[in-house]
Amino acid sequence: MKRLTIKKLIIMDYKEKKAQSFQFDDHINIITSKMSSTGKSSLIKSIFYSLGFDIKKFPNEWNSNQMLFKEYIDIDGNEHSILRNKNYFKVDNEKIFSYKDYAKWLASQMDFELEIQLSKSKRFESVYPTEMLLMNYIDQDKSWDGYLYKNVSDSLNRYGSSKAVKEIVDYDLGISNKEIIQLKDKKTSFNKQKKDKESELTTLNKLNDDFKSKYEENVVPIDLEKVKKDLENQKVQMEISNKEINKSYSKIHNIRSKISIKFQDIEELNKIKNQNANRIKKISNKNGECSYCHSKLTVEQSLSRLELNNNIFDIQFDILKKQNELNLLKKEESSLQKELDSKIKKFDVLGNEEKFAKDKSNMDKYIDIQVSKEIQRKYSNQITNSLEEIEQTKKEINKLSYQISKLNKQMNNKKREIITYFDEQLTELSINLSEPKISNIKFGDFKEIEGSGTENNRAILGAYLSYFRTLNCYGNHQFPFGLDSVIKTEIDGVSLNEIYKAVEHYFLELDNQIFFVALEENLDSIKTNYKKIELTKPILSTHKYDELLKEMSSWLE
Amino acid sequence: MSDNNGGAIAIKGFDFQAMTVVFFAVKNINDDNFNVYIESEEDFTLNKAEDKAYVQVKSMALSVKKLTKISKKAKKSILEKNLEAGNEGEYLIYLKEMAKQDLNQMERVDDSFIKDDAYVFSDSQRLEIISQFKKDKVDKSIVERVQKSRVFVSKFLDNLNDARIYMIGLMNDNQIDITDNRANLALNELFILIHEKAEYIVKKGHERRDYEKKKLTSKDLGHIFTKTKSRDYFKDFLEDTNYSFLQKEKIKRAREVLFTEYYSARKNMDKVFSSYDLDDDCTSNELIEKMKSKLDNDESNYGDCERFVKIALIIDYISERAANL
Repeated sequence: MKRLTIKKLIIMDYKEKKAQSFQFDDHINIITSKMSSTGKSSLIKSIFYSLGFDIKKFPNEWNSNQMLFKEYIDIDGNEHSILRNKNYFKVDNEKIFSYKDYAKWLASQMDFELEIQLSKSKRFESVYPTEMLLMNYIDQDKSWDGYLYKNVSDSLNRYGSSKAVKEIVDYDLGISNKEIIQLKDKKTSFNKQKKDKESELTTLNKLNDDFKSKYEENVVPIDLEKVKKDLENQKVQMEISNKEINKSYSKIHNIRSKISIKFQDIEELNKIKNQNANRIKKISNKNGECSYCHSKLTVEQSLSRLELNNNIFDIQFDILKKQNELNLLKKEESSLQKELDSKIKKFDVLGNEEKFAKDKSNMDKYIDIQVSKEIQRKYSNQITNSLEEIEQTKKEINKLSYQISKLNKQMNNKKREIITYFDEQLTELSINLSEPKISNIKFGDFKEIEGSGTENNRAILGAYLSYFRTLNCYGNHQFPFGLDSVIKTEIDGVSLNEIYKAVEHYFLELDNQIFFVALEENLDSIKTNYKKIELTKPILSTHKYDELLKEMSSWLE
Repeated sequence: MSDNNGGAIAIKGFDFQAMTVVFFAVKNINDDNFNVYIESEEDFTLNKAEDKAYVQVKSMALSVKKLTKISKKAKKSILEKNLEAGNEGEYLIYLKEMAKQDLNQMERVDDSFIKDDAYVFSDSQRLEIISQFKKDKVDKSIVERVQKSRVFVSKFLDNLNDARIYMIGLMNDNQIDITDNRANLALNELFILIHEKAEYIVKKGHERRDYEKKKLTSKDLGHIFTKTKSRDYFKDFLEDTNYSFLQKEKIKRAREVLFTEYYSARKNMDKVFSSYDLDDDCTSNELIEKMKSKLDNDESNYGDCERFVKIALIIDYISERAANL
């Protein structure tokens, strides 16, 4: 357990050019003055302000914003200096921290690991010095309004102050540690995971049911092997048919090319025939005269004509022969065409068989079902996975629940012990302060303590003292205790003998370093001679300014 | 390959009279001195070295009485017209038919132009004719010629098919060995020739020249038949070669344009091969190749001829030589 002790405080008003230095005892320090409004509260506020406490209200003449505070502290034998101006800090004369960074530094020094959930962002954030010192400092102006701790500082507002007070008290006393919060956090996250998985599972189940119903609706008994065989047969038949068609095409092509050649031949023969016929006309005109040699009725003419006529005869004969061949080819072509037509028809019939169409439709259905089954299978796998994951998550949650409950049990045991102790303190204080109201206070209950006047004041004091004592006994960190007066407004001449006796007995005997503020006149009731810091007005001195400026010089660097 | 395949040649210009001229020409084809002078189609003169005959053709059935009957148009009888055709030979009336009663009385004689089946009038018939002539006041010199008058009854009828079949048979009898269709072609040519000669008019001052033009000689006829025969030979010779079917087709095709496209090249063949021995002991192809190498060397005359034209020229030449043997 870390113990923090404040060794010395230097306060410097750099506008007024006044300053003062205060040395503190490691244990009890009683800040006192003969007159009220001398500056006792300003000092104790400054002591805790220098540590980082967010003081809600300083006295009017105390302009903390134009002041430098340098506090020398000791944490388990390690000395540090903390220099504060407004919300800027300089630790050990080194670099300047923001308020947040300083808070982290202090938390790490004191092993103060509390994180509280922010009310706006729901983020958990490490606490500021105010929260660390919440139970340790009782402010005269803000701690006596009937609410314990809650209104002492604006720093708590970010969490929602009532909840924060309870969490801080539990943490300080070690009955709500980070572990449980983390475990709860983890559990929350697992629960969210489980919820997500369950919602996913619902969707998967619905989809799965959809496909399942589709599959059930369309069960088509199909002999896949038979369809396959039929299709193969058909394929083979179509291939054969196709080959046949190609054969016919090639034959027709062949015949057509032959026909074309015959046509050309016949055309050529006709040309030659005409050539010969034209030549005959030239052999003799009406008068039997040759167009070339002008001879008449010669045997040459006759022989030429005979020659040409013979040619024509031969050609005509060839033409007829070719014509016959052509006719035969055409006949063959037409029969091949018929054959081809019937083959194509057969092919078309093969391709369009009704049975095939039916098989195809069955096939489509079959494939559809197979696909549905496959999808369903995937969904089913996913469902299994989801179920397994949910089961796993449930196990984790159970494990966490067990751990949480175990820790809670431990905490509860400790808590019960603390409550018992706390109640004992209350009972004793109730008797010693002659205030039965005190015994009505309950541990961990930070509701308003109703009532007014000194009765109410005693009850609140009883509560604070009980918490101080419990904290002293069970707390995890030893920050200094600060108690600014025992009542809200110190009135001169009112006998507070009973109260001071109780303070001495129940507060000043605690182990922590203690700062207690009291009017000098009241100190008569306190028997033991503790270290007193006697203040006279003004507490800051212009004489001291130059002397202390050196010590504050690091701020100026 | 038979010529009887499909394309029978239609014979143009057939008439009974022209066929009669052909009949006489074929009958006398082997007589080098034979010729026929065609005055008109039904009126022509047959000539031989020693003999002469004036022929009158009538494509009708006649009797002796009808022969002497004066026609209104000609103002003369058929017989009289025949007898006044000339004065140095025989007088022949060629009839489609003769009244049987008359024919039976007539006497069969050998005729120098026809060899057989000619008839002369019986004495009684002759008297009957003479008395008719006298009645008709026919010239005495003409009447005397009745002695030399003969009648021939046609062996063929006045229709083409009958005449054609008879004529082909007659040709074969006279060693004119040509196929049916070729014969038709030859007949066609003869008919054309006969029509032309018949219609040819002898001009004054050109009598000698024109006389020759109206003559059809046995030589002319021989040329026509030789030409016809050579066409068959061409086919036979080509068949005998071992060219492929397509090559033979090409050669045939070339043959058909020889006259129209290679006339002078063909004519020149006679000069090139006049003294060439075609009986060389070699195959048809070898013979053709030998002859072709000669043509191949003759760039100036045969440079334009491609292979199959040359072969066609050679075979055609060989066929003609063979037909002339």
